[in-house]
Amino acid sequence: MMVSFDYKSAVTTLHELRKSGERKSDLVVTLGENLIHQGYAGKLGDEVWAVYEQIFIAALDLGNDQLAIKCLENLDKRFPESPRVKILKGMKLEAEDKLDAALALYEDILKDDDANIAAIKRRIAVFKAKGQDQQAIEALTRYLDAFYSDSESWLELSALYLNFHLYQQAGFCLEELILLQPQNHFYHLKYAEILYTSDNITMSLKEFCRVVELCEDNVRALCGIKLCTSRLLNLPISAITSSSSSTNSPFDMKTISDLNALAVERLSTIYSKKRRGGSSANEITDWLNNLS
Amino acid sequence: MPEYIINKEAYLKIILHACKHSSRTVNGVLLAQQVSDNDNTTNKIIIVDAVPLFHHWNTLTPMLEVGLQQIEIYANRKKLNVVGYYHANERVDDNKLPPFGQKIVSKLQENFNNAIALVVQNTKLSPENPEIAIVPYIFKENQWRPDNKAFSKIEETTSSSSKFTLDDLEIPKLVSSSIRKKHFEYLYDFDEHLENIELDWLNNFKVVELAFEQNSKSK
Repeated sequence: MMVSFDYKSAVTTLHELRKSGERKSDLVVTLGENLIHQGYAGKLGDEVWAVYEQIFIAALDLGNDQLAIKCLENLDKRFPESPRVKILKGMKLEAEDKLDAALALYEDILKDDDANIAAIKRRIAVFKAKGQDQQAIEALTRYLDAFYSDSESWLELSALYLNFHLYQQAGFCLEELILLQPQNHFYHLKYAEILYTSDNITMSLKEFCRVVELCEDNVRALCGIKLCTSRLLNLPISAITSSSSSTNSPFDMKTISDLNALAVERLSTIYSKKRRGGSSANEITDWLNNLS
Repeated sequence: MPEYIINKEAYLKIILHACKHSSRTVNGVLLAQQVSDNDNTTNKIIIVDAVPLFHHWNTLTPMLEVGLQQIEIYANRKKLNVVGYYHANERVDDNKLPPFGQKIVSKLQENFNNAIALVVQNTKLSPENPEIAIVPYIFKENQWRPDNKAFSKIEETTSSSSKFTLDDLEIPKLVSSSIRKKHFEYLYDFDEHLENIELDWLNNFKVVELAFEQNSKSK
């Protein structure tokens, strides 16, 4: 063997990936194959079942049928009637493109236990895979009525609404997310971009500012501030005053032009510090100068 | 109608972008050499490069505006034109150019009459049998329509239809081996650049170097 396999670090890595939920399927499969083929599985104790499940899903992702079947057989032997293993069988059907069979299996699980979250979510995933986004939205909305605090699902719902250009509904999902986790800058960022897209420039500017408040020197948000302020500064005066009086705009012209200058200054500094990004620094300088 | 030639750098970046974020929708734009006015009679559009834009989301406009403005500046500097849009869908079997993509390419059309869109056909990316995995969309009869036989109609070169060719017929094979070597890890889009500005989304030199220099050595 060329490289000795570090059993301990492999187990730790797999554990960390399970916790973070990152989708690094090829890494999981590589580590998993080593674990199983070199006979380390027995050493894992009860953790082995979670590891089998993890490797199984990653193997499906990469189309590694042999490895997937091996993991599933072991799990099935140990937990013959488990709904959790049933879900995995459903995922195998999904991977084989037998979407209706998978759907039937999930609905079967839900007949016994209508709060089985994994089954609810897989069912929604099948709708998406079939291109039935409308059904996916309905099912996801019903799910969120019961499991309000599931932020991942709010994000998914917002993405589905965006497919249909339903910006108001997508924005609503982001408002829920911001209520759940007000400190998460990513939600403010997505919300800002949705607001801008639906032409609500002052509110969008406010959200972009919030991102920079939570996450200093966030380039995406600084670009957003630059974009919003340039647009507001180029509007005819009457449009500003009328829109600001109706929406209670938190910005007067002086603030907008200050924010514009600030964004330009920060972006110039950030890009001049890191010139290694190829010639992108030149493009950004020109961009900052052209757009005013 | 003009003749479109797609260079290997452009094809490579489109496909690797789709592979890097295989479970997401990705998009970007196409750049072609500027043609001088007296050259206009030849009517050849050589698509020499692609610039990857997004994988987070693709129906929101602020970063699209920022990205396109910066690409415009970059293209001018390199004496290139923005001549089209490319798109790869989230679902494997989805080969359509969605409404928002149509909107973007219609916008590009305002500046470049013969703008086109290329949509990745995910199912044709199989490693065993690499085929040309893109379908051009052309604006015909007031609508964006796919030209499914674009790369196959070599014989019927009627002047009414557009012609599409690759500058090197080996590209699908080269790109397939590039995917196997995971070169896509070195391809960066605008989303990634905004998270780490050291990533060079406009040029993406590294990925071209990896894909083509190694292959030419091994020949």
